[in-house]
Amino acid sequence: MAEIYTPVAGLAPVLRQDAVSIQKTAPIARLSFRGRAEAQAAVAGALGFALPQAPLSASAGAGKAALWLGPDEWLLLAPEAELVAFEAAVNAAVAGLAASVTDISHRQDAVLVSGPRATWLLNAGVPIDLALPAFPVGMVTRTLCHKAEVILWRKAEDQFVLECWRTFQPYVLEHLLDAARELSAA
Amino acid sequence: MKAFVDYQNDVTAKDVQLAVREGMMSIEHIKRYTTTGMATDQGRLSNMNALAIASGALGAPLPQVGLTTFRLPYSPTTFGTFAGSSRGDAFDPVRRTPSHDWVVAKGGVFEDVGQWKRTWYFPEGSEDMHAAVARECRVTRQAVGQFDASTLGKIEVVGKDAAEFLERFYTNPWKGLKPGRCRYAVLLNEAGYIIDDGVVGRLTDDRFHVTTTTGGAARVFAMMEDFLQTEWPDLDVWITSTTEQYAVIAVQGPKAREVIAPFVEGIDLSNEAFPHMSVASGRFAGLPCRLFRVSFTGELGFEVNVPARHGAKVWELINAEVVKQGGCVYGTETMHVLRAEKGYIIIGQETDGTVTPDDAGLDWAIGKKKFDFVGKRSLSRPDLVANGRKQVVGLLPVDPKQMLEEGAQITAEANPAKGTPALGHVTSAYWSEALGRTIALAIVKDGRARHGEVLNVPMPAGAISVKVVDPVMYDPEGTRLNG
Repeated sequence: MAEIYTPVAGLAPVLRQDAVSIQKTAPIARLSFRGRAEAQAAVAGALGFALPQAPLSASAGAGKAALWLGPDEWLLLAPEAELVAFEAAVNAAVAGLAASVTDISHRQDAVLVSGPRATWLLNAGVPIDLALPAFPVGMVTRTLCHKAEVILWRKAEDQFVLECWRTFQPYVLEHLLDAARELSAA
Repeated sequence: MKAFVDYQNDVTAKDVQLAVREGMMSIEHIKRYTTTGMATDQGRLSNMNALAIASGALGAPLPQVGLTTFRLPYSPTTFGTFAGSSRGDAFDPVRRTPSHDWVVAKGGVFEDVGQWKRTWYFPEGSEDMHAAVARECRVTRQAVGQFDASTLGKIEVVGKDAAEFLERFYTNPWKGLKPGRCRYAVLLNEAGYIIDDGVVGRLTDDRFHVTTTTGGAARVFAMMEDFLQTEWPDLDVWITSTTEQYAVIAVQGPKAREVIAPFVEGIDLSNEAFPHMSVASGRFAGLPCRLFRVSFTGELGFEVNVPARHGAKVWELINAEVVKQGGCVYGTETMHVLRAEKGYIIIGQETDGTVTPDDAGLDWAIGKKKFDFVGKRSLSRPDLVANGRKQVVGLLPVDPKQMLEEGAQITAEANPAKGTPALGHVTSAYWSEALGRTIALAIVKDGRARHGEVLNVPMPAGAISVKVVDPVMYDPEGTRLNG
């Protein structure tokens, strides 16, 4: 399956160490979906798979993904070039049903945090337990990195997507880079 | 004699002795009863003395009295340890708008507005702030001005009950607003006082684009969510913050239409098709766009909303046209002056949490036929309908060069007797380039009935006489809005 989040081609990583790296990701299409049960079921048609209903989980397929963020809230992801068609398809699927579909593609920016010390680095700013049993691969949550709200999605044992509102990213990165100095000095 | 033992918690020797007289035998109980040794020094400055006093009062040797439990940190710890990486620019998020780098390159001066960096003014050559702002005001009113309004809060309200929700939330009526039209919105708290305002555009029957003040964005969003979850969970409506989805570039002034026209596709910009307080989706420089025809200056004005990552590019494209039309970029100071000339209030400046819509002259923005809205019941409270409330007015100093100070008190007498209550205070004060004189907004007791009266603003260097006027001091007929 094609990865939704890919590093920006040709851009040097924000951080490159043996044990951890941070890479900015290329723009993607993001829709905030809110809605009641009937609309939730209808979205599956546009996605090609059902919305994940288990809290803090994600579903993916056909180059798209759906992240559970709340009892009636999902973040829907697709390749950037598909935004217009994707938004139209989701809107058509829920037409007449109790739902809200809003384009937030430019509201957020993501980085990939990868490497054996990724959890150590993230825990410099994210207070939740990222040990594998507590935060397994595939888990997604909305939490805090210092004072900034972030979405954290574990893609692999040693890889996370860390997404936040556009103007908060420099702040989040500054904290992570500061913590990384400690790692490089060790 | 009062002898302090714990300097942080102000515990005296008498307090320790009283604890023993009250029956505290254990040193841990004496500690809790008196709070001695419980401050951040954990008794480092006081414990041995307190223990000795307790020992004397109890008639027990010191070692038998024992020690209390120390808690971390019990050795000196630097503030740096507590701060960690939260220092410098990482202390608090610094939020930058899409025009930021361009503004830095042009030498613009920033001001902090909450976490945002906003351009305050754009000095040219050797201009000081006063000269720069006067020029920005003059050029905007005579030709056209460009302003980064991206920081305004934006909330997408969507669902079949969207209009019903806004009807209950804001003071204004929404159900009759047609798609493609906008309305000024006033938000009250439950006590009936103004806490936010903005412009709300209806995009379709079930989709609204709500704007809030820059500082109120998070607060208003949280309040909406609170009401949706706890008061009206039956409504089929959802809110999504879109503040960061869009870069917003305001183009204001008589040449505003000429500036944006070359870029706009799919929207008829004529006064007939797209009058003041309109909104439409279309394309701008080939990009998807939401275009608003709104004005916070009193001039013909548009606000161009494009997806944020294209903001810097669109800012520069617009700037090239602005320059062609003899216009300029302007910052928040000019924005404040232009809106004050028109008597448009700013939340937190003319309002302070005790101002009602009627006090602010916004009675017209209340949907009087509505069944309910947040704060409606409070608006009929006896103290909110009583005479003698402070109301927003304009002030013109009798000496047109005399600048007033924001926050200064207003009295009837030039030299009031000590203890005279103020009639109100100055809320905004500026040099108005358009009027060629100083102006101010103020809230004054029974202000609307005082238009024409001369009052005083007592200052250390002597009282300043001011004439009370209608807050709309420039273009009272509003003809300039039509371009």
